[in-house]
Amino acid sequence: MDKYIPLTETIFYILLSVRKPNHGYGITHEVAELTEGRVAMGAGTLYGAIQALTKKGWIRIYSEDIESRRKKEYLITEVGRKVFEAEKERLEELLENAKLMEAEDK
Amino acid sequence: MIKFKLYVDKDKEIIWLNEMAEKGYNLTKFVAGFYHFVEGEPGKYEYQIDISKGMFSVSEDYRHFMYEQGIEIVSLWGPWIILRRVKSKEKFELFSDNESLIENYTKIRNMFKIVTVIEIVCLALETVAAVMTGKLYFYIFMAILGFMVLVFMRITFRTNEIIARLKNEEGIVYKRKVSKVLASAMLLNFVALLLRESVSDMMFRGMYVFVLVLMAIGIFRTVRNRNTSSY
Repeated sequence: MDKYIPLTETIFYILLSVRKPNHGYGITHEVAELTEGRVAMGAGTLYGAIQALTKKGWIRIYSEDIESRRKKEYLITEVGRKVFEAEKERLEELLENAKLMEAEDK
Repeated sequence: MIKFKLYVDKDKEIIWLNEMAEKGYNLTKFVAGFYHFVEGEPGKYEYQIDISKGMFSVSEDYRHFMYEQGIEIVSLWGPWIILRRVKSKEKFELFSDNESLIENYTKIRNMFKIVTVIEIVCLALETVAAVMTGKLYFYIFMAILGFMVLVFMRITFRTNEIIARLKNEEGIVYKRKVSKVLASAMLLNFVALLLRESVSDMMFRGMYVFVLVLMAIGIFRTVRNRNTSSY
């Protein structure tokens, strides 16, 4: 992971929502709650993102009940956690530097 | 109630399906341009259309995922998936960020690109047949295929414009790699070669000079585009 690419909001919130095992609808719901309705995750967006993140190895399938409803739950992986941590540091840096703008006002 | 309509633009189709649902006519099946509606509660459902990698099928994964989100798969036609959901507070949209929107429209555009090419090949073959046999029905097929080529070319370009606009919003400058003139020249070159046996020598030479001139212009413009950055 040489070149660091900032995470999109969608990816950031999905990773966050699967810090503990979670399924599709649960993710949508949690993201809406965390952002107070600002981010309404589209089903198509979420489906595509989950496929991509699973392929990248940032999240993995946690459980799959083959018999009944086949409720597929996802969980963040170690790699996913590292990526998220790096993003958190980037955002902290941004926020810190953003404060400089207020200093100029005075 | 059954209605027959031919839509190429899924965005326009979605608007129409939702207009019908608003009146209480809910789509239950779609087959080859025939829309089957069942009368129900007005404004109960909202419709959306997705595109899949396969044809006439979706993965179990997808089916279950949508089911969990309260989204019902109404009908499958070719790569198209017609979905619906009971109306809720938020408007039924499948994609909430530009990245996934671009991905979706790119899939659609690539599909249309392939269809356009296939249609052009068919048109060329019909042209050869028409010129060689002189039979009327070949000319009729030619006209129909010609019309279809134009329709699919148009939707391919329009979808491309949508992608370019979205990429622009993301700060990605969408630069055309091959000049339109060059692309047309290569197409005409293919058609000319196909018709070589069917037309007189003079005509063929005339056509070919035209093609070569277009190619030269096209190559010039492609190289020029590469060297200038677009804003």
